[in-house]
Amino acid sequence: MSVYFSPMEQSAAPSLVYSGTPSAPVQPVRLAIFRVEGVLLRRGVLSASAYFAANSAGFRERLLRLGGVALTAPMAVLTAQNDRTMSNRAAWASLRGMSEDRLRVLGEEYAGGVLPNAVLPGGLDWLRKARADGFTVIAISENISHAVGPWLSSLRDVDEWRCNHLEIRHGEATGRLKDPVVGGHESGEWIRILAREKNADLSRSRVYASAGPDLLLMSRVGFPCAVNPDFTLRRAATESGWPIMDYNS
Amino acid sequence: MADHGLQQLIAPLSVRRALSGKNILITGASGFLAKVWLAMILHQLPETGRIYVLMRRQGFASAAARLNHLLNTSPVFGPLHESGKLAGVIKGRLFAVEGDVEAGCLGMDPLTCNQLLGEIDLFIHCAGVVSFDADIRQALGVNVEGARQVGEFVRASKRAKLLHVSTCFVAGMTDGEIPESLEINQSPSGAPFDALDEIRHLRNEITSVMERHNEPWMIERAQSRAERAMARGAHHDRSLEEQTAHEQRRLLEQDMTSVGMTRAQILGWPNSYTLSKGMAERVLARMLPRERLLIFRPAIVESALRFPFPGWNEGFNTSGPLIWLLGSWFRFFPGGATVPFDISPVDEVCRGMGIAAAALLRGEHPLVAQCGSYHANPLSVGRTVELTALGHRKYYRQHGENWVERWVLSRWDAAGADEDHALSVPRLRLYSHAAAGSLKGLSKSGPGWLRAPASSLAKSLESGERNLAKIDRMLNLYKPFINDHRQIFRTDFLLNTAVEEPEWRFDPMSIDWAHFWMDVHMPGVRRWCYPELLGGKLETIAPAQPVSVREWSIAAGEAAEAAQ
Repeated sequence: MSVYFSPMEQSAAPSLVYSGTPSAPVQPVRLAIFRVEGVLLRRGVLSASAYFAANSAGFRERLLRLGGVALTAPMAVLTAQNDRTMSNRAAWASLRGMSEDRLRVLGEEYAGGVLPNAVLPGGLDWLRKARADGFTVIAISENISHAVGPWLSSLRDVDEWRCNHLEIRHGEATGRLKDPVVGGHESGEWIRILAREKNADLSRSRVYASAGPDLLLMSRVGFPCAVNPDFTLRRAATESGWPIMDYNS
Repeated sequence: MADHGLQQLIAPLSVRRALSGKNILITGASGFLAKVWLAMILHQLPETGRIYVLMRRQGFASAAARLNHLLNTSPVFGPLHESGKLAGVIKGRLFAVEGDVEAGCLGMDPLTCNQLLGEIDLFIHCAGVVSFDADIRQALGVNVEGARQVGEFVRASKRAKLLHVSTCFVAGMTDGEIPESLEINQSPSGAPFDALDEIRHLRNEITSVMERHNEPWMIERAQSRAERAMARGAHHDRSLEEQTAHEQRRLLEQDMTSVGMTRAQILGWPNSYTLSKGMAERVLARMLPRERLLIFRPAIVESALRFPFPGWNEGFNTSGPLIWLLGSWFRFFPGGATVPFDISPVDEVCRGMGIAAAALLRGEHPLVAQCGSYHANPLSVGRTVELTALGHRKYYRQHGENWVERWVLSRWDAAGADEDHALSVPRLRLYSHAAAGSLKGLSKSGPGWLRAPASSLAKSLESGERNLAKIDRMLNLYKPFINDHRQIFRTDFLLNTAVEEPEWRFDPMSIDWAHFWMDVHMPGVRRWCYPELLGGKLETIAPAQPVSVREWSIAAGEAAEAAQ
């Protein structure tokens, strides 16, 4: 797990960072955090893990891995509204034993051939707008780095991105995701640490998200926005008076 | 000879300074490795002295004509042509010398020989037969007798030192870490071994095989094979006598190959290539004092990583046929997944040769220097098979000629399998043979309407079986290196030698195997090696201003000196 700060440390942290002469304050940055799945892309974790599984080395291996991914689908549906850590772990567990070389090649294929057709243009427009408005743009994804890394790296308007990472040992995936797993309830803590690292003012920051598990993340910032929200998030956004955008349909 | 480990602490080696002003004689320059080394020296070390390239005359083509042809057609020299530097760097510096490594005084005319004996500082001996299953007469002649003649030349010379290019696989059929050393009186099987006795033994064997082939029953055997071939309609253009002579030659070659292979395996070497290379090392180690000899052993030499340009390759060396095979419908590859696959890009090997040569000239060298990558940056056969499958996948998805290649063959990944696998090559041959036999029976005694299709299918299966037999033979030749033995060649000398010039540093750790294999080597093999296998035309360069070198003579040397 990453190192989290205790509340005491947090309160002791300066809200402004001084550089040069003490009288020259640096303005805190504003963050615009975009959840990739549902905001920038139509496809989620299962689509990527199924693609990787279906392109394993042998026919028998393909069937077994695809079976594994299929078994995790109900779990993903059940946990979609809450903590997705478990279903994310299960979805990628089927890649156990796949070579890192294959992950790399399939990731390039997926990023170059599948993801461009799954892009939500509305999301990219908001990404551009946030950047133009001076926000530091950060994308977060539940997918593994092999699947979304090449695509996210190609987006000029994204300053940083964060996603899940498969553990690799001796050149092969162990099937385990490295901690902390994106998609769970740790996102609230994560954004606090990020704000501290970047000297960000969360009250003037934005989060664009689409699913219930992002509620903690959204509740930390001054301007949360629900995009193509699922049932839980839509209800919470409506009750909280957060803006809701639908550009999926 | 100084302790080279200690020397490191004193001063890093400068390849440039060590080779500066030194006169070099190279053999085997028409081969893959020596040609790249020559281009590298010309490109990066203009300070060296004269470079003499020993070549055989081929028909009407003199050594100079052959060298000029290489310089003006081989893509290795393309970047030098393009930079406009080649004419300048070879003027008065590069000379062809006509000769033959198997002959006394290397087949040079006595005047040239005498002059070179007094002039050469460094002898790079790369010439050799590299076919794994060479006719033992060739292997013994070029690899052993050639090395012996080179040794004689070096011994007789005033100050020449010899860098003899051998192979790591002289370690034979052994397992484990292979040190940079040489057991002169022992074969890899552990049996007492004397290279000179072995030469005599093999010569006797060759003589007895020759005698046997001159016996009437062998001639009759050749005749009957020729008659069968003529009856099948093969070789219409030959008379029966010509076909008989052809069959005699083939039978003799087969037996000579078999002599080499059998003898090699008795002594613990996998084939006649490694046997002859192992013998050459021992012959040279006996002939020359340590301060004048360095045995340089590369592992498997593959495409260039950077020099002369990424992907340069030539001929059909080790991994070429395997890559081609794994790009076909062939799926189960008989390679041990965890067996080390010790390959090095040719430019990395040339840098190793440069370092070894510099150390040899400074007298800071070991007797044996191995050059591989596994010791520092491991790559296994299993990973190579996976990378090859992925490389083909990338290629067929983008460049497949039809939907079958783009959608099916691209996903037809090869996998490692043992010989007992249901779809291994020996098993496929067996199925194919059995099916062809049954269909033949059906074509003779089956219902009338079935006879013609059965006969046609049986012929197809027989032809398929012949192709499978070729693949099986090829895989059997490679098996010792990709399946049977787990050898880790230590490369301590090159790894521990600090080098001043960054462009000459030996750095196998920096190779990203996935990138090298899929993005550099496989495209290189496709471009430069496939045409040879598939009967296509090899690319050559056609420089706007061809260069010309002269054959070495005293007059040529004097003219060069005057010009300098």
